Amino acid sequence: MKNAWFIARKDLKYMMRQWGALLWLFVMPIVFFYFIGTAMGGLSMVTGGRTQLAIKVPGDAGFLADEVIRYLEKDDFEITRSETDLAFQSASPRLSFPSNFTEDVLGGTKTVLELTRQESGLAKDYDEMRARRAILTVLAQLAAAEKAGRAPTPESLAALDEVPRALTLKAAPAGERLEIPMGLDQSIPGMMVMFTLIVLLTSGASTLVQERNEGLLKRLASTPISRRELVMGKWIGKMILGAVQIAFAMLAGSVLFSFGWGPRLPMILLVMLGWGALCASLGLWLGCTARTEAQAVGIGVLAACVLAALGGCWWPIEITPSWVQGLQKLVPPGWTMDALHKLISFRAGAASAIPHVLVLFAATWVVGLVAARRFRYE
Amino acid sequence: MIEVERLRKSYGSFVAVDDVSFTVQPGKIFGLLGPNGAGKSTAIGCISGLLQPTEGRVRVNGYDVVKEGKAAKQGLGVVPQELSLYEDVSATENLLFWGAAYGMRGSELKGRTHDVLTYTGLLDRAEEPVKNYSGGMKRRINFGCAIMHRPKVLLLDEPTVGVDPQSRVRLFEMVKEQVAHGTSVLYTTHYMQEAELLCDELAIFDHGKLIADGTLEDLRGMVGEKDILRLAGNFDAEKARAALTPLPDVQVVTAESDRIRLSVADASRRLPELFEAITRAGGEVRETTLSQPSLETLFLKLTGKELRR
Repeated sequence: MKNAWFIARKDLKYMMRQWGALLWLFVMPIVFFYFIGTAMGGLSMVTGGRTQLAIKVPGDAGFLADEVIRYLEKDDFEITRSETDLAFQSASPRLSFPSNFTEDVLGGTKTVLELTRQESGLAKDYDEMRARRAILTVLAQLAAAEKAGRAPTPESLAALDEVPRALTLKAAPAGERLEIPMGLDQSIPGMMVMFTLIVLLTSGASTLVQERNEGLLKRLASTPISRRELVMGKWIGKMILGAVQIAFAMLAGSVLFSFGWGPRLPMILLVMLGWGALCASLGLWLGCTARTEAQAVGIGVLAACVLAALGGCWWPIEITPSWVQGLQKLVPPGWTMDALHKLISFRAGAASAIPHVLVLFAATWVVGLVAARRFRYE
Repeated sequence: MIEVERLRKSYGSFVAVDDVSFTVQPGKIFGLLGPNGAGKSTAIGCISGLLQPTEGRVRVNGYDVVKEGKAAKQGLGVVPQELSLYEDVSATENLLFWGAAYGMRGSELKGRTHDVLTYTGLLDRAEEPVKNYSGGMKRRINFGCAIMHRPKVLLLDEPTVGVDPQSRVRLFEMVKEQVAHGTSVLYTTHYMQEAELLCDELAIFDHGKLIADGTLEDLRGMVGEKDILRLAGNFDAEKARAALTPLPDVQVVTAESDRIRLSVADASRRLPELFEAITRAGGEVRETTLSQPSLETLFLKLTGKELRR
């Protein structure tokens, strides 16, 4: 192990001298924390707050349209009226009332309200459920007015609204409603996961390729350092580089952006240790597989970006369609992001991330073994 | 000391080194000569532990390179053909790294680094990145990295490729100084002149086989007194071969298109006879080159190829 540590120390020292590596290690993560976090924070999506809903109400829609809108506002929609058709068509979500809405409803003619949301998934379902609830409430009010022998007018409906309910149905979620992480809550863990992968797949792999192409590994083969010690040293060097990246990202998140890691910090550290270890194995594998430095960097950047996107590093996976959420389970950054969201944003117990940690370490072992078999001096 | 016994290295059906044996004694320089692809680098790879021999045995300082790899490599220094250096860091850091790779630490490592920098003449530029060095300086530090741990055996794989004459002379001096301290040196080269100048013993490699070996005197004896004569002109090489072969003391070494190489005793006196034989075969000689007996002559005779023009 003495020789392995010697190789690891030398590798780390060498990598830390490269300007490119330093830029990706210490500068770019902070830039991405800020920009991605700001962009995410500005999006109108389901968060803990109100959802903006654009509406289009023709002049002849009547008072029942106002009633529906009133109940939508009660259910955490923030109603906006678009000034132009174009603005309305580009809004999401948006609700369109038909002409003669009130007249058709009171006359028993079928009429259609159009709710459009560009995104699919849970957020869309939630919006639809709230819109239905508002419409059904108005219809119930009309039924109650009819039963009480009152004409359906704004005044009669308002009066009915004041009458205490003989029967009230209270519905509440069985568990705590999950707040999808947005803004910095998403960008700091996401970019930390992505940059660890990028740094180890690019700097980690290209250094190894460079050493091979320049004959340094071949020369090392003639020293008393065994193949096993050399491979182990290369892996440890990358692992330490990953740990430096993670520690810096966590510290920068806390100090510069006041990011709270929550009460599960030890488990978060264990998850990130597993992620760093897997990235070190992947970097070693790429370094053993690529033939040129350009190939290592090209494959590294491309793979890291695609895997990070699929794994939910760029945006919360919870807002994506269900098939994308299914893909997340297949990619390593997805395992890590899922664990981090559970531990940081959803306040789940530490035990919820145990399967993720086990999978990360198992994958580290498998990829590391494959890389060790592929390792060649020349 | 290096002992190579019946070494064979094959890749599938391709045999890179075939049944090669030789010994490099302490305090001697043993030269390996051969064209590209002859098997020299494969043999070096097997000795340095980079490659596993298919058959045979290699011992360095008495240790089997396969079974006692660590002990064998501890006494081995390798100067590779390519400049295997960390170019972004200084000469000092390169020496510290390669010394530490052989287990040197602390004051011993620092002291030896200073000594090697002085020895290679690079002390005044020791802290500069190696990438700023000239080709000759890089070759010297490449050599320095190999002797950091005071090895008893040195493998030099074409160490003077691309080196200016001044640095080449300094490298030769350094090699000789190591030998004077009892180091065994295995030296591969393309350059016949280097081999003649440096080596106590030589082995000629071709197609993975050792086709001749011995001291310089032994090999010169094999060349004999015959000259190498190159003839070119308007003739068919095969017809010329047929016309020349029956002549006494004339050996056709190579014959291709309109040129032919002969090994001829006392060639200058026999030129008219040779020209006449070619004329009788319907040809005409336009160009003649005569070489005195040398190692190059032997190489040409044995392999039918020139080592390096």
